[in-house]
Amino acid sequence: MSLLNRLFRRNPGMSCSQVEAVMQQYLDNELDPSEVPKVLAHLEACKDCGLEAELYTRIQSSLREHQQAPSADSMDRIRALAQELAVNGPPEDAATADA
Amino acid sequence: MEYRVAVASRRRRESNDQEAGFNKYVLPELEVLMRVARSITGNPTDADDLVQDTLMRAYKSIERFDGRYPRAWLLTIMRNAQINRVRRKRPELMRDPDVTLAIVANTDSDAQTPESAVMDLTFDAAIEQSLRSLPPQFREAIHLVDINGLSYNEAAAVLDIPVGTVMSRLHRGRKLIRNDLTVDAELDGSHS
Repeated sequence: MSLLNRLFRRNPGMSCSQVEAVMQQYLDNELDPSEVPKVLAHLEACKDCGLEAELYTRIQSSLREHQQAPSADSMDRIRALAQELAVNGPPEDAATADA
Repeated sequence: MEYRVAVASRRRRESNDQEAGFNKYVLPELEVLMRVARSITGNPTDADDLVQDTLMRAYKSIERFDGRYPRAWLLTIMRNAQINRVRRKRPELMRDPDVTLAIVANTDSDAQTPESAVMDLTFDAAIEQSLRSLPPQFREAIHLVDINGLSYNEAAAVLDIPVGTVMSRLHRGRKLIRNDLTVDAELDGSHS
């Protein structure tokens, strides 16, 4: 990093607004891989953007806690149905109803 | 006689192909289908029915499936199945914005100190409250991507909207949650 950049805490790669525009894609692993190192470099150098990314990561992590695993009973029923379907095809009444 | 044998043989081959395709592409996605169905329908009974319906449709169309992106293919089938179900049940109402999704927090309290558990509960509670107050289209995108772990493309397949719209709804929804957290923190600060 150049002296000017260090003095003014500027990042030579992406600007804060550029990083803000792609931050969500970066956090979702949906950003073009060639852009990732530039975003990472900025997040390490810029305290505000780094904190913003950390906050969004915490939000995502908290949201993931809301994931509701299907009950074991439901999963067993659906697995049994799927396996029955794979081997024997749909039941007669379903095939007729759809025809 | 030869004709009958040939037809029987072809049917057997097709059936084997369907079974192989079903095992390869559908069975590994059952849990994702169950979770997304729960998000879409809002209750476990309807979710079970929707997944069953999706499986039947997938079975019938598996021979035409090219093997690429099985999850997105299945989610598209699920979306169409759900549209039909809603049309049948409530023709006048394709989407009910008042339907709230039951949410059960699943925290791993063993790995935390009591203080951090309380802090996390407060943070999680604020996020849950904010999530519930989001406009339905933002909440829907967040449910599919952040909670159920779908990619942008997969969420677009479920919602039948362009990927760019998924991104926009998701990002705006997250920003609203983030802003709610900031407001909460400021209010807490002003009370102390």
